[in-house]
Formats: sequence, C-alpha cells, structure tokens
Amino acid sequence: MSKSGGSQGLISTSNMLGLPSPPIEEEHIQKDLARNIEMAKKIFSDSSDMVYRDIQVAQDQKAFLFYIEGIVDSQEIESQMLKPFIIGYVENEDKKSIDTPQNSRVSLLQASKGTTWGDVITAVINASVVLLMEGSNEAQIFNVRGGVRRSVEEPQTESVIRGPKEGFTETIRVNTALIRFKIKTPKLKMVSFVIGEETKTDVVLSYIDGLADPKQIRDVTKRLKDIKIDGILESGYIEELIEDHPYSPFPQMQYSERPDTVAAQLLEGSFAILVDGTPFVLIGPVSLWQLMQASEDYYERFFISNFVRFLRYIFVLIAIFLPGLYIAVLTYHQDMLPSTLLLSVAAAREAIPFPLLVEALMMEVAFEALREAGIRLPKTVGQAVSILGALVIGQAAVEARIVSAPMVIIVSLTGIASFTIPRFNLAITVRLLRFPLMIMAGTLGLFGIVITTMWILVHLSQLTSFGIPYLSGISPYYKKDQKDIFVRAPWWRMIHRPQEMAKDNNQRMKEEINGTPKPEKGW
Amino acid sequence: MIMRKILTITAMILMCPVFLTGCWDRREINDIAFVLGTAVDKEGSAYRTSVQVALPGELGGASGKGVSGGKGWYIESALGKTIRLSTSAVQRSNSRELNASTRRSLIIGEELAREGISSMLDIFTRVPQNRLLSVVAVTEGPAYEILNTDALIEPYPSEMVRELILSYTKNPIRIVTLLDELLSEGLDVILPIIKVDPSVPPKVGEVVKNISIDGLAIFKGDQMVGTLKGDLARIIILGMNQNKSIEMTIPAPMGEGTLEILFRHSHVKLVPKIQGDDVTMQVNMQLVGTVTESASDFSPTSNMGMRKLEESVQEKVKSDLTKALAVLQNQYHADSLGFGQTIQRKKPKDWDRLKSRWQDIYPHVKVEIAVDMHLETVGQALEPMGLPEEEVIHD
Repeated sequence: MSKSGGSQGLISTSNMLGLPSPPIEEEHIQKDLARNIEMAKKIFSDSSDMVYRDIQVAQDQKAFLFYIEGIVDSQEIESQMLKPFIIGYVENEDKKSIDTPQNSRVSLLQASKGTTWGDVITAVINASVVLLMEGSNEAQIFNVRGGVRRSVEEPQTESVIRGPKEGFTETIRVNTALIRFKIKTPKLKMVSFVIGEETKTDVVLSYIDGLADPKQIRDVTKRLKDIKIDGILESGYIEELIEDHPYSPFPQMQYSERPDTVAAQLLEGSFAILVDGTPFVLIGPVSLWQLMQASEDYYERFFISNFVRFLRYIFVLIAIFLPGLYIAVLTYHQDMLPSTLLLSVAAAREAIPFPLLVEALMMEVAFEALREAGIRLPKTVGQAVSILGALVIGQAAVEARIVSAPMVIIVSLTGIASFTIPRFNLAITVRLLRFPLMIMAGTLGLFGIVITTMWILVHLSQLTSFGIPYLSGISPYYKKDQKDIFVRAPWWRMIHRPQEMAKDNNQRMKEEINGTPKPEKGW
Repeated sequence: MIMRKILTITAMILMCPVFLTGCWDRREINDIAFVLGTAVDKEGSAYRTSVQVALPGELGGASGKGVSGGKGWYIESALGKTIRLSTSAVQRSNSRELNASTRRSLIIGEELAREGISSMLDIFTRVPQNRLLSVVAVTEGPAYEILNTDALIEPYPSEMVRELILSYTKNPIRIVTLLDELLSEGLDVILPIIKVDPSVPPKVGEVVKNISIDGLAIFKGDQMVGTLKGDLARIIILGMNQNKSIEMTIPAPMGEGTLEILFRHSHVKLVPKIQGDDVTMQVNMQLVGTVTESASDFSPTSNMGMRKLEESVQEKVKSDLTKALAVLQNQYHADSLGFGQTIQRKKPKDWDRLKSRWQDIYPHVKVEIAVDMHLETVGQALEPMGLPEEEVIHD
C-alpha cells in the first residue's frame, strides 16, 4: 500500500502542462471557459463514460456541464437542467447572462459551489453534475446520484420465518434510510467518512447519541480516520483494519444484512459501520453470546426462542468437540463407552485401513471441501456436487470399507451442528477450531481436549471487542445480563440493556410490564 | 522483535514433542480384544480363566451379519497358578490386547466358590479397565460351560447372563456390591446360580443350549456353603426385599385347586428386639400382588373372597419363609437376610456387645413374621373361566 499514491496521477498531469506543480486539486477555476473545458477533459482523459455538454445560456454566455454516465440520474439532468436552460434561452427575451443558475433555472435539490479543481473532481466522481459558466470562476455542483443498483430485497444470508424481510443493499443512502425508517429520533447519528485513496468509499458510522459510549465512539472514529488504504470494497476490509485482536480466530465484530438486527444493536448501545457498495453492515462491539443470537429469537414467543437457543448452544459444543471426543475416546479411552456401543463401533471399524485420526481428518477435510465447492459453484452445479458428495463419501466410501459408517455420522452431525450457529463468522471459527482439537485429541486423548479447551477459554477471556470483554455477561458476570445469554427472557422482563453497553442509560423500560389482567389495578 | 522471535521459537520447540513422540498409548479400536465375559474355575490347585472375546467383524457392522455368518465371539481358556497368570496365558495366545472394560458378567465355578472368593476378587478391581459393574453369578460345576452356550436371543451368552440376573432381583449383585457385602458385618452374600438349560427336550427338535437361573448360592463369609432352589430360593429373595417379579402358588382358600399370585411390589422391614442375648427379629412384609392364574373353582371377586385369598397368601408366605429361614439358620448358619447388619444399624450398642458371638447367636434368633398382603386386582377375568356358573364357589 503506497501511502502517498493517491494524488500522484494528478500531479503528473500538471507536470505535463509544464507548470511548476501546485497539485491540480488546489488549482482554482478560471473565468475562461475554454480553458476550463480543456482542463476538465485533461483530468478525465481516457474516460469513455464521461459526458460533456455545451449549453447556450444567453446570447453571450455559454456554459459547459459534465458528469459520469451511469452513476448519475440522466433523466433528472435532462428534465431539471438541460430543459430549463434551453427553454429559458428561448423564452428569455433580453438574453441576459446569469450568475446563479441554481436560483433561476436548475430545480435540483442538492446544489453547492466549488472553486478549485479538487472540488470538481470530488463532485464528479461522487455522482454530481458540474456546471461551468462563462465568466464565472465558480463551479456549480448538483448532486444527482442515480444509476442502477440492486433494490431492497430479502436478505440472502439471514432468512427468518417471522420478521422483516427487507435487507440492506449496496447503496449506502438506501441503507442509512432503512435504519432511519426503524429508529426515528434525531439522536440517531450518521457520521460520514470517506475511506480509500482511490475508491473514495463512503463509510458511515452510526450510533445513538446518549446510548453509545462516547469514549468508544471517539475511539472508533479515530480508528476509522487512521485507515490509509487504496480501496475499501467490502466491510470486511474495515473489520480487519480496526479490530482489537487481529490474530484471534474469533470474530470481534458482527455483520448483518438485516436493518432490524442493526437497529436492535444500536438500541443496545452498539455502533454500526455502513460501507457503500456492500449490504453487510458491521456492528460492534460484540460478545460471544451476541453471536449466538438470531434476530428471530426476539420475534417468536420466548418459549420456542429459549428452546432454540438451548439447542444452538448444545450444537455449538457438538460442532467443536464431537470429532475430537470421538477420536480421543476411541483411541485412548475405549472403556468410557457403553459396551454395546463400543462393540458396534468396533464392528464398523474392523476392516478400516486407516487410524482413526487419519480417517477423521480425511472426512472432515472432505466435508469442508464439499461445502466450499457447493458455495463457489453456480447454483445449478452446486446441487450436483452435493449429490456426488453424499453418494461418494457417504455411501460408497463406507461400502468400500475405506471409512466407517460412525465416522460419516460424526462428520455430518458436526457439519449440521456448525450450521446451527446463526452468525456465519462464528461458525467459521468453530469449524477451524475443531481441527487443532482433533489433532490434540488424536495425540493426547482427553488430556489434549482439556488442554485445547483451556487454551481456547483463556484466549476467550482475554479477548476484547472495542474494549468490551468478549465473554461480557458471564465473565465479568452481570446478573442482569443473564436474561439474554443462555436464555431469552420474555420481553417484559428485559428491562435493562447489556451492562457493559449503554452505561449511562441502562434502562430499556421503566418497569416490568405485561398484559396479565391485574384486578387490583382495575383491569 | 527479538522477544517475539524467542517466543515463536519456544512455542515451536514446545510443539515438537506433541508430534515427535507420536501417540504414546494410542490403541486403535481394532487392536483390542473385547472381553465380554469371564468364567473362573479351580482345577486342582490351578485356576482356569476362560474369557469370551468378541469378534467385532462377526458381530455385524455396516453390512449386516458377519461374512461367515458365524458366532460373534469365541472362547479362550488357560490354566495358571493365579488368575492373573492364567489371564496372561490367555493373552499370550491372543494378538490383540484383552480389554475387560466391556465385561458383562463374571461367572464363578462351584469349586472355586466353595474354596473362597475373596482372594480372587482382587484381580477384578486392581486393573482400572475392569468393569466393576459386571454382574456376578455362580455355577454348579465348571463355569466355562455357561460361556459356551448358544443363547441365541442375545448376541453373546454373557450378555444373556447379565440380562437374566438383572431381571432376577431388585439390586443385582455386581462386583462392587459383592465386595461391599463381603466386607460388611452381619451380612452373608447370596449369589444367583446359573445353569445350562436345553431349550427343548430332545424329542421336540434341535436342542439349543440356553442359560437359566437355577436358585441361590448361599455363602458363609466368602465361601459357598450350599444352595437354595425352587420355592425356597424365591421366598428368600422375597424376604431379602429383592423381589422383582416373584410368583407363588397358593392353595385356594375354599374349594379345590390353586391360584398363582404375582407380587408386583413388596417391602420388607426388619425390626430387631433384643433382650440380653435373646434376639428376636421381626420381619414385617408388605406385599402387593395380583392373581395371574386360577386353577381352582374359587372365585375371588367379592370383598370377602379377596380378603380370604389375601389371608391364605399371608399364611403361605409366613410358613414358607419360616421354613427357608430355618434352613439358613440351622443348616448353613448363613445370615443372608442381614439380621446382624440390621442390629448393627438400628442398635449399634447391642451389636458391639453381640458382634463377637454372632456366629453362635444367629441360629437361635427367633423370627416373627408379619405379612400384610394387599391383593390389587384379580386380572381381566373375574370368575374362574371355563367353569359353569353353578360350579364356582363364592364366598
């Protein structure tokens, strides 16, 4: 990454003009329209998507407008800029020149002025139309952002049965609007950043004033401002650039495609980072428990939510430990299994040529490959892969006595278990962690599992996400947080926000409310 | 930076042993021979240990029954001066390591049982792989015969032994309980006797060798002193509060014939009464049962009829138990019901006094039996079926 690379191209342009370099961004716009046109065409040379247009404003006044096609709304320009000028020219009797077209002609909402070429460049690449007038050393800038982008659709990665079906899009303004639709308060802040020397990506830091910790917001602002990179194409760039512990396998930010998830986290005192060009919005800080919650937990009644959450925690443990335990118990601690189970496993493994650890690693790697292939391939081919995988690995391998049937069960159970984790980034971590666990189990048995588990636990307990302990709620322990970690209390019991967040404004509701008829209150 | 390098190198060196040493005591599951059951006998001065070893390949894995369709197990047997030596001899002729963690049952031959079982039990507890929950049984004659039965209904004979014993008494005796009972004061061990039992008489067809429970082996201390069979064995189990599903034949209180009563629940409480050296043991039994068969012309449908039947049950239990206890007290001198233990628990001071002379006192303990029988139901049929109404005797 070259830190000064951003402006180099433009400097060389000014050198070509033979001028001693003040960088072109700082050069002022001249009153000479012809020179300005030449300048603009030079700056945006070799750009086939640039549109230049001459306009006759008055008898003795010409104007020149230019923009990048595709990212602006051309229809808007046509009807709100070109037409008024032409009609104005035809109808205007005295044919006098004009100074301020935004007042007399152009009926576009967002208008501003620029005096340097730097302003002009920034405006044009951000989907504005720039109007240069004869005899004026100011550029008229009109924002007509447009262009074709995906519309609001159902989120692909986080589907729900009950809950909002709208998801973020690639357009940051749409995304901020989706949050604004949900949280209608001026306290919802949207601080704007432009990151990326070349991509000039719009990034918005969103939080609710009075809920989010101001110190934390200052910290994040600083981290965002410190990013010096050529481009940001996905929020993942930002996640890796600002997280507390870059070497930890555990995700320290949550991402979501769902405005409701983001809104819920904002209401708990978190902040969100929206990045233009991706529907994935980052949320921080997170705790491990937060990554185990799905948005639907809060939409369905609490009985089923509790059950599902309980199931999820069990299956997380299965996803991490099952292959390791299977290896450890069957290679070192056979006496721990019930006799009949042991005998049927022994019967299945009787003719298998590989040691258990090798067999397990083989199958797990094959499963991971299968999963990866299924994601990358076009959807139509993906199905073929899964059939192949199921048939070849599931059945043929067992029948050929290369892998044992119990191993297939273990691997598929582990696979299913890892898919029950609602946050994909935590699922990845869990899938990765089981490999060291399997190797340790295969070399040291249950001791290996215990050692690895301790290792993970120690790591987890020193992990932080934007200064908040990763296990916050359990360690450090907050009694009030227990309502939403392993269980999901009914809404009328969730009086407080998580204790580490929103420290100054912890009360979510005044008191426990529910609809139970209370005769003494006159119900 | 240097710190970091040092740390990295240290970490790498520390990781090396994990991979270099390989897997110290790794035992793949197909390097193990699973011991399903063990039979120990005494032959002269030597011990014979016979182990039933599973053949997992034959037990049927992914592709159903084994290739050859043979048995899922085989037996290996060897002689040795001690049980350990004989087990080692078995191990020597087996390419896989014997693992006793799957042992279902431990079968002791009569000869060994009569000589004393204390010393042999050591081997079954010292090695950690031993399963202390294996059930224990005694055979009349050599124990290995049991292992070599067909027991077609279970995958292997020692499993059948285990299932039989588990269904025989409330708290089946396992190696742990056996040790516990051997070491407790004022209680003598009773173990079930199992025998090889042909499935059908030879005239019916092909005989399959089955296993059945044949009664109780009475121990005095750690030595077997005798057996109780049939009704006596059943009533002793009832008296020991170990009833699981004991049936009894009761003569009809009126009319002719007998009725079968199945005791569904039972509770026995021993209450010692001690005056000097005079010990009276009150045996309070609460029994709940049902009629399972009426081979009589007596109809128990009315309230009085039920009451009368209950009374006959009480009579019968009382007299049978008295008879059985007399055998234990006078013939075997074995305190199988744990009279001594009851005194030790309920009247510890008296026990301290009597303890040393308990052997002499026990045969003279007076037993008072009180039976409270409650007949729950007479089954689906009320009157004796198959008899015309006028022949049925009502109360």
